[in-house]
Amino acid sequence: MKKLLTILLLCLVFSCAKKTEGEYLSETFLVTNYPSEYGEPIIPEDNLLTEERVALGRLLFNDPLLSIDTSRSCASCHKTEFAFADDVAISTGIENKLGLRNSPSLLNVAWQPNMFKDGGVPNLDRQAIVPIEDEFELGINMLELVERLQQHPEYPEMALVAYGRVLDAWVINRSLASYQRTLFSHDSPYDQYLAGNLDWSQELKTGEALFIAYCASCHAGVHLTTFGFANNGLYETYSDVGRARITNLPQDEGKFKIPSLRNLPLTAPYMHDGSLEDLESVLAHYSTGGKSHPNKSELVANIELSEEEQAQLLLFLEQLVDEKVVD
Amino acid sequence: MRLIEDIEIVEMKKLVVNFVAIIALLGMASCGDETAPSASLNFNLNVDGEDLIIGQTYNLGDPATLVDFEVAQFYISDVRLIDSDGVAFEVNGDFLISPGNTQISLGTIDAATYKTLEFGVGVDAVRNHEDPLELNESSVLSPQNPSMHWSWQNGYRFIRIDGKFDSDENNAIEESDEAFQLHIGNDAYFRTVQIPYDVEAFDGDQISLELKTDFAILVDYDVAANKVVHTSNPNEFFDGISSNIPAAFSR
Repeated sequence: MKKLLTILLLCLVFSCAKKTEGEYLSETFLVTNYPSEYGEPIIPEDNLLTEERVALGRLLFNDPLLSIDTSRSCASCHKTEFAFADDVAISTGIENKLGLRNSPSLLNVAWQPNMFKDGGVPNLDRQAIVPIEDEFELGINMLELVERLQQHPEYPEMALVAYGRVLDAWVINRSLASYQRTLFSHDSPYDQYLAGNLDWSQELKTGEALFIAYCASCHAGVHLTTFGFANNGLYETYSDVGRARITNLPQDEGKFKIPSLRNLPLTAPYMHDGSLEDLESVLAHYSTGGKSHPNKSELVANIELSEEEQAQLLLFLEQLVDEKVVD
Repeated sequence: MRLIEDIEIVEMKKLVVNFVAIIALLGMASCGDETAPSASLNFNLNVDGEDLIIGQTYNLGDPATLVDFEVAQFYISDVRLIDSDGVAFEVNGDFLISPGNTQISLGTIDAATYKTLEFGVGVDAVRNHEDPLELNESSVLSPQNPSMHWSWQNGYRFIRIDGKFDSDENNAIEESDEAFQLHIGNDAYFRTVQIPYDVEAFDGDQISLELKTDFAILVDYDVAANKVVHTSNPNEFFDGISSNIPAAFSR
């Protein structure tokens, strides 16, 4: 009887004990069907994908609580229908303030070795704090945001389950990274063609050949980018110096990250500042070889594409859209 | 039974002896701490000699412009006291100085005759690029409010000054006046400051090292023409501003 009472008492003590942070943690790792040809995505050991992390990140990504005046969320400038980019040259943040650069597509960001068009931030796990605190984007201090989200009816417990720690700046940034690592695209008509599942007309094959001849040195491989930085001769003088803003090196002036061309027709307007409104303008730029600049890539040269060739190249570029992702 | 009591007495004696020894050791250690000199570094934040108070107005810049301050803070790092033999006593780390926090406790220092005080203004090139999100909230390099991390360049604002200037030129600062900002960051603008500082530190001394920081020397340009100054990639204008940093600190 005494033993029974002791056991009952112990049970009572344990059931009253508050759960520690670690006891909440879910460690069921998400199995993602990343395309094998893309290689290993960049996922750090301390932020492996779980359903709970992705779920929290998805909610935060779409939540206007992440802006100081609750008018904007990440999704305001990264819209599903535009391949998680935007359809304006420069998106507006809080109070309709103009940002700095054209909003990039987030698809396949899991493979990107550095963030932003100037590569200023080394990985996705440290990226979100930039637009969150930027006075022209979401404009909220990170500690203020943490305090705000800690009052939310669901986020604090979701943070404990996802990461085994209280909701803080680390959790906000890491969960947003987790969600974005689930945004991938690999099933365009071009992928189907390469896999032998589609027959292409001669016109499309010529378009592909033109692409390989003139574009694929920079927009290379399955990701259609080398992930490098290049000056493509857009301007003679750059008001936004691009990569040089980070490295302080004059030879990096006017260099920007080479974007993937996957889903390209959905991500107009183009260039770092969105100054070219459509693909025709982009082809016209490259046909003439762009403006003169000491840092301009040697690969950007006057290629004088005929009208027919431009049409064939455009037709090829239209095959890069993965409809399933933006549906 | 007697034997057990004897053993207990012996054990008890051992315990008492050990206890006394530990207390004596602790006493010696604490006496040692008491005799070593200790020091603090105290900043007087001012505008051309007048104490800097948030919300108060000052004339500064070239030409002189009426301004007030909403934020006025900076990082100090790796403080070194260099003695007459050139040997340095170092306190490594980062400290955030603001009107609400003007003191750095250096703890106990070596007894010596010091000649020079040296410190960094900003965060050194290694720590400047580490992940602030990985740091415990007690670290001044973890996210701050107002923010000191300049996240787009994956580094810190070394000096952050925010305020308003008399943009309507009515000789007063009002809500409608425009904002001015001077944010100095970027590894290129990390500055090491050396100040001759003769001080003798004897055992038992509590030394207060007093320094003045003059914000009028930092904001020594045409404020109205340069409302927002963020020293991203270097240029001549930014070079000029950052070259004033050492002169802004004096005894």
